[in-house]
Amino acid sequence: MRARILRAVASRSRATHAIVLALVLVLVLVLTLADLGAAAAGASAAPLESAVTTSSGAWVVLPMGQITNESNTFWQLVHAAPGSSSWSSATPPGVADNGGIVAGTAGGAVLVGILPNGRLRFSPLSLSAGDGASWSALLLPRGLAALPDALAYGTDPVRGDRRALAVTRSAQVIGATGNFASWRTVVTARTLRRVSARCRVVGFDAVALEPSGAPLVATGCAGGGAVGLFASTGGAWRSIGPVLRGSLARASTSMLRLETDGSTVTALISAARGRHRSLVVLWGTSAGWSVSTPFPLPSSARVHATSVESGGSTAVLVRKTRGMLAARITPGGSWLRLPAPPAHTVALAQPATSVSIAAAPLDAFTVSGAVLDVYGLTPSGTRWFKTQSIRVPLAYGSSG
Amino acid sequence: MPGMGRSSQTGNSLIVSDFHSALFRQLLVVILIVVLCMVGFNVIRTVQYRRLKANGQTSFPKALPSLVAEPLARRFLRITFGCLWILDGLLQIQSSMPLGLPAGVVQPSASGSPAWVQHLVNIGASIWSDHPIQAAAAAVWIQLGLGVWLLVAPRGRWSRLGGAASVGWGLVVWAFGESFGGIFAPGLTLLFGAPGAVILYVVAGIVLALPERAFASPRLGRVVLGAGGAFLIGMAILQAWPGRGYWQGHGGTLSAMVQEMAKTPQPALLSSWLTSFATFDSAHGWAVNLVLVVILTTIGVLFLTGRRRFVLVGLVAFVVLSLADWVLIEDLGFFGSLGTDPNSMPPMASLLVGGYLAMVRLPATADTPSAATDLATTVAHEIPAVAAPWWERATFPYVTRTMAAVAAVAVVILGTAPMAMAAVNPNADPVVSEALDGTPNTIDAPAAPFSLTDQHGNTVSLAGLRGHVVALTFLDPVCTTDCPLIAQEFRRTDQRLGAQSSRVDFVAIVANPIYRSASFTNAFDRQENLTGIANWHYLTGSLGQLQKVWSSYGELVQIIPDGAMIAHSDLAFVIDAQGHVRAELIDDPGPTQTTASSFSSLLLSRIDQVLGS
Repeated sequence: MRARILRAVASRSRATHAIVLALVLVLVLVLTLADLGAAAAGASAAPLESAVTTSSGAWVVLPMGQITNESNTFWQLVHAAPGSSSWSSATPPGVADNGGIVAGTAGGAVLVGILPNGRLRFSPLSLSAGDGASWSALLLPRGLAALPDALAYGTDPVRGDRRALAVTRSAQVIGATGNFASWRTVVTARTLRRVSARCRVVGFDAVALEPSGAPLVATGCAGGGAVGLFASTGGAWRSIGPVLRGSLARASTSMLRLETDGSTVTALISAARGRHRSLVVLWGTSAGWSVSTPFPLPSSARVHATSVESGGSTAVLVRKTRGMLAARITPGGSWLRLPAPPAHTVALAQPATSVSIAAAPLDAFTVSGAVLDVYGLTPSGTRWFKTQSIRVPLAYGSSG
Repeated sequence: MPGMGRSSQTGNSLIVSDFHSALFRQLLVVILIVVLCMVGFNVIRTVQYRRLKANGQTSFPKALPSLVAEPLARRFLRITFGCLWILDGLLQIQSSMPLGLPAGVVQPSASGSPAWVQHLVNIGASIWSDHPIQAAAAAVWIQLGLGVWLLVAPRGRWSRLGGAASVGWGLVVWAFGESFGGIFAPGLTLLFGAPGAVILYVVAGIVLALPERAFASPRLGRVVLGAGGAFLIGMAILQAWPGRGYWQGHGGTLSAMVQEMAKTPQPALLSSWLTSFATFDSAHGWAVNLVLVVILTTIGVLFLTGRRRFVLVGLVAFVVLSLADWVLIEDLGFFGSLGTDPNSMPPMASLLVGGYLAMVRLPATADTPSAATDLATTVAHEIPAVAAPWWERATFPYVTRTMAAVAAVAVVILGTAPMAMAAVNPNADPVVSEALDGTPNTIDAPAAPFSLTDQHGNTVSLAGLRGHVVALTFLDPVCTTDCPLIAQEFRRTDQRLGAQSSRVDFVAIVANPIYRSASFTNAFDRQENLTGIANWHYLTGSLGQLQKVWSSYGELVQIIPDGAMIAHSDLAFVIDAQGHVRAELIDDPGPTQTTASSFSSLLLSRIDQVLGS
């Protein structure tokens, strides 16, 4: 009798163990999948709110209007001339840009692409040779991807003809020269996967043109700490991105920004491992890459805006669950936390001044409907103060 | 101007006047039907009289006293629901019904329901929106016809068929018009009308469609009351379910809804009652819900007992509760929005009263030999039950009621036929576009000449198109809103022209001073699948050339800065084969697929006129 009871207890115990084991396995599986999901999500989307500053001026892309309603959101291109910290709207006219705009600059010219929106499924382009006062219309027969550096513009230093690269919504990199009448595929993700097995290419993030006119293509990498940056020489593609070390050695990466100027390449990387995400800036010269210290992001934070200056100075605006934070880094330096930006800040930009990089000013842009306010940092870098207010006449309801 | 979000108001004068005209025309048909039935009645009676006289009889057959009267429960349900259908039909006459029903009643009722319900409801709403006059007028006549049918046909097949017709139409309305009474949506409650008024009409229709022998025992009544009791207990459980906002006073589901109802236009007295109740519920929400749950459960249990006294107590309580709910929460059903029926409480109370009568007032009386007699066999109970020819049996009431029922059926068909035709016609009526954009201007003036470059690089001039009818419009190739829709309507018109298409050219002229090169017209054509259409010409030219054409056709084109698209007039012209403008239309496609496709019908009608002239 006792033996029977013991057998029954043992049998019940085995069943309980099996159930507990199964539950543990399920839990491990769920956590693993969640972790994998987080790693995949590490390739965070780059915000369109962005700025680029070159020696020939600064350009900012930011949304205005009723930002929660796309048909009443009007993206603006804001410009400051070299040596000036006064900003003005330079949005190209003639097309609704409710879906967003992207800009590529080179040698004082700016090429603006309109993202598909509403029933428009291709991307009109506008090219301005100077300060955005006059524009000429060009066509990208496909839809641009919603990435801040989806469009690159430059001129061939030998032949002098203009050229452009674009990342499309269908995840292709296409390019055109001359009058941009004919666009052709420049490279496919499959080609780049063959070039770098370590990167495990997951999609195109940005394009740029080297001063020589050669294309640079940035991709996300699914792991291994590899940075997906590829260059082409004579039609042959090679991986030129470095591999992150230390705590980011096995991280997945995505490129938020990619800018070239002269012999310098500046890349802002989002690196993710598990639920931990960091921002890293790479500066590339002929001597090789220098890598910034990681800037860890709070778990619920997302990058809201980025600003890159041709000398390599980079600023980010991060939106947290409560409030925002801004940080900045200069080549060779370390991340500097800035005072909390003003409420409703949508973008940061570094005006093109002759001041040394370390002391260069930084502006924050706040939007309230059709009013754009510009705030500058005090020289001590301890607080923001309003420097300019611009009222932009928005045609609400025109795209509804 | 593109994208300015215009839409027709529900009281649009053109739609209202067309609706009234359609109702008046159909009223004349109804009168004709009545007259024909009266003539038919006279013919039948004349033939009957001659046959009787030929057989040596000098008077019409007299009605014999009925062996068994129509069961009281059946008569009650028939008359009550007949009156309700007539009331619903009269409510459908409201001027704002053609345009207001889909957006104001049908789609909001489906908003919280699952996607498949919304999809189904949208099919019905699209049919109504595409053909608002036909649909609204049809609903009037179908419901009036059903009501009259139930009232005039008390017995026999005609009467049971009326019940079956109620079931059919009721199910259509319940599914497409009431989104299944919201039973698939969260927040379902008896207080606001669950399970939908019309499903109760359907239940009543089923009861009326049963053979009369079903009323010979109390079983039918018990089934109706038992089902009602189970339903009320289910509703009590839902009412008591936590987290649905009914236990909450201030800001709770009930008080918030009643407050919203109180804000709608209605007599001040009613509004003040609603406000008072909402205030009371805000202060004592928990207690109000507790009382409701207890009452509903108790009534449900009483009905489920099937015992006469208990049921009577439950019925009285339910009638009082339903009256209070109807006045204080449902706002009499007609108020609060575009009312199409008196909401659920009157039909539910009527149905339960009918059930009670079916249980306690059996048709079998003391002088009736058998309660189980199939009363349906006494269809013409006024007729002697002998195998005599019809002229010896047809009494005055029988012929009168039969002809009245025939007239009612004809009225239902008068509504059903156009509704069915509308359902299978995918093209919206032109009147929708006219309501939005106005009636096209009919003119006869020489069209301004132009010579521009098409998407293939060929020069196209108006003179070169002489001999063909030309449909002309102005499109912005990088437009994000209207222009692609207008282009699609031109394409649809071309397809609908069929063989006549070879006699028509569809011409669009670029309406953007910046993005105007042939690369953009080509990109637009590819985007809109217009590349393979032989008679489609998308023309552009230098800015000077375009400005000249814009000016001569009254096309206003304006650059709007800072991220907005070009503003331009939505104009279309129909130019005849001799180069004369014959019609000028505004082709703003409006906010919906219906308003857009309606333009195609309007353009087609104008092109047909010019082709035929």
